[in-house]
Amino acid sequence: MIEVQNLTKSYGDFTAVDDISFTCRPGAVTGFLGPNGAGKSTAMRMIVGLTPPTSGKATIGGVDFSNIPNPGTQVGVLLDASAQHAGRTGREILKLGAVTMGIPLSRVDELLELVGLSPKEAKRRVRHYSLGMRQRLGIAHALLADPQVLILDEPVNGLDPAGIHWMRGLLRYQAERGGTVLLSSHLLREIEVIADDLIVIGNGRIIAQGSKEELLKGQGTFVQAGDSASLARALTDAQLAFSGTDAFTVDAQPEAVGQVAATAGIALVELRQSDGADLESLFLSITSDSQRGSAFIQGDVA
Amino acid sequence: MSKTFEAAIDLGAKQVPMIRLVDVEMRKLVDTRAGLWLMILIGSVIVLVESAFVITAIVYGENPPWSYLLTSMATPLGLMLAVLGIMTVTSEWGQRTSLVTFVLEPHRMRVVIAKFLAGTLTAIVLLLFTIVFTASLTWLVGQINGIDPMWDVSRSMMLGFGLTQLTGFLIGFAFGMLIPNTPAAIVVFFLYRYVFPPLLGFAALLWDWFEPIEPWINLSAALAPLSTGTITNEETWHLISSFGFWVCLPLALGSVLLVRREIK
Repeated sequence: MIEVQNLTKSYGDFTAVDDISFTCRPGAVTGFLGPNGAGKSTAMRMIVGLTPPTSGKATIGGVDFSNIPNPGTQVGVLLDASAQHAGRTGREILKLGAVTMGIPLSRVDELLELVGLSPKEAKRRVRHYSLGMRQRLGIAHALLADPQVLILDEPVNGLDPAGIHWMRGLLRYQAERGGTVLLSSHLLREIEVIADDLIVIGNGRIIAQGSKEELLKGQGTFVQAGDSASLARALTDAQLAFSGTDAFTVDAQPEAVGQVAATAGIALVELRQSDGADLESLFLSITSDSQRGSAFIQGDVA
Repeated sequence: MSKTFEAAIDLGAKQVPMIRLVDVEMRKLVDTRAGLWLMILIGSVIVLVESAFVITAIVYGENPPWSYLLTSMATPLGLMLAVLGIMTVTSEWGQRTSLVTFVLEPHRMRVVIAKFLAGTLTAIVLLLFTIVFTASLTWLVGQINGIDPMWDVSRSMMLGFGLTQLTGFLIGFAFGMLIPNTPAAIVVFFLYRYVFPPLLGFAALLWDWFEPIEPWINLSAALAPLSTGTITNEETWHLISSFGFWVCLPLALGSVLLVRREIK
């Protein structure tokens, strides 16, 4: 279990991570979603003790990362697939990890096979690897000692659709056997496929969190009437919170909204549970705050 | 789906033993082209420089004593061991491998100690190689010239030579800790080695008040008596003081910075 409590990181005036709290439960894949520069990587580096937090704390299984003995065997971490010495071979990188962790070197070959790097590729220097190959190598490194907890920063970045599918199966297996998985992504579509729980972060703050079903279901009721002014008045009188000008999204169940309309004698054009567009529009609105992010997301959606 | 699982961190597991960390750091010294070539370079410089000396000596009918061969190696070996010291630490930063290293061992000073031990062991091996190689050449010259080899290196001289060379490595390591960038650390080392001592001497000439201070921080000068094998009491104190200034101080400062630094 990963627990993050009021974690904050400031660099001078700039607050990269702003008072975030969340829990990743065992047996589930938690997706950490946000545009580039939202603070995902900084938060993950704080969880594994590489970045000292300004305030707040993060624990894994109740303890600080630095108090976990031989942490590589218990928590598999991939922070940046490109953060490897370009002059080392893929095999050598895994070997260094295995020696540090004290696990049999036979695991190196097992993992290379698992992530689909051929013996020939494993002998090449990482300089000549594509991003997808580096991701596979990084995942192999994180999985070397078969850890219970996985923390992966943008692991799907650079993988082809088959790779994404493979990753999904891999993380699902981890969760089903009781493991805890936290993975970040800047692509809603990607994380939607893989995660059970979602944490959405923008500009260093958590904007939404909960199970995927909850978040994607959207909340409230979509309602539209021919006479929208009367409907607005009736909703206000009934003390129901709503938004919109022509059609409304009301913070209540469809039945309650229908009752209000019936009592007021207003004919409705449409009444239904609001659809799951909320998360996507929320995500698009936070990403359009930063131009970098918006270009990325729009490119992906298009 | 909604099964609950226990948190699975085993606090009773053993931490990574130092011997494995040292093993990994030794591997890292030679498993990249840059590292491997540095070792090959050091080895070949020792062999080539000494062979050139000996061949010249034989051609001119001279009979170089062991001390001559050994001390001729002092400068090149000193420089190369310093670069080894620098790269032992700085190679971690150039390619962001620190993101992996310090996740596998979050106690950063343990990694530093492992690097220190790995580098020191390597430096000692190179030093022993130099001693054995020059001794063999001394014997060979004796055989070729048909005379007794001149074994004129006393035990204290040998010790002095070894300590001076190891100090070179230590300074490199300390500079590498303070300046986490290979080229910058090498430049600063060369400034320390070649620009700083004359500057100190000049300052001592210029300001009277500085003259008594100078020997306490001039490590190059303080090391000189070591290589001859005799050292007075006062010189020992000069050596300790300047060693503290150039090795212990940057090492301590660099360690504090490393432990607090954000690794990204």
